[in-house]
Amino acid sequence: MAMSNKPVVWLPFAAGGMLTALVLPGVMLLVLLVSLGVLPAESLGYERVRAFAANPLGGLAIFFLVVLAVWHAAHRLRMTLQDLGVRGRGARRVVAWLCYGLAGLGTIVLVVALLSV
Amino acid sequence: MSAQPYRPTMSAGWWLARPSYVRYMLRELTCVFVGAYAGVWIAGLYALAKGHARWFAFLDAMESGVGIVFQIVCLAFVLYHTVTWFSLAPRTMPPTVTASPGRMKAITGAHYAVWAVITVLVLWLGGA
Repeated sequence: MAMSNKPVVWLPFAAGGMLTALVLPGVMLLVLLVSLGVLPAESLGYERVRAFAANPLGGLAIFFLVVLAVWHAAHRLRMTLQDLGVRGRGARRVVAWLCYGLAGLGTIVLVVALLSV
Repeated sequence: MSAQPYRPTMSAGWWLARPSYVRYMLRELTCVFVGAYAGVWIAGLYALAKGHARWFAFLDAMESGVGIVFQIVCLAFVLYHTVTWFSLAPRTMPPTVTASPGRMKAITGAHYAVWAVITVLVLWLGGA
């Protein structure tokens, strides 16, 4: 029987979808309000954010939120491109490599950043 | 008649045929904005690791006109993701759990309640 990769991509898709839905709007609103000058610039001050990212718990929180969002987006984009007509065997393979490849690259850059912060 | 592989004949614009299909496609395309925003933050955290000057250059970019428009568009799509995700949540659960429409509404409502608490917490913790 052929091995299915569905559980491997479904878990990050579902977990990322839930985490994105619950947490991302608040984070986005916070950053937007700081960008607009409604909230003080110290909210996203260098020392403050660096301390949060360097803290193991803070770093893990950032890691899970960002990585799961990226893998959620990659899987959904791949499926949506199939809906939009990418149905050939070769084209589907290229799309899968592009989506998951970008997500993998993002994951590596994020881990490097978090470990050196 | 010989057996032939099934070939779907849908056009690339099939989703424009009905409003519900358009909403489906909008829901699926929220992933582009989730991915773009997360990607920008990967760059931001990389800038943070590179030091003070790079971090503030990143924040300056977020405060530029393009940065603000990008953030607002992404926020709108992520909110649409949140609303559609919470509506779908009871439909992914076992039918014994979601026996009635009232139960399904309660499950969606519980998601909104948790969402509200998390959002207030994030703003409170982050708001210096």
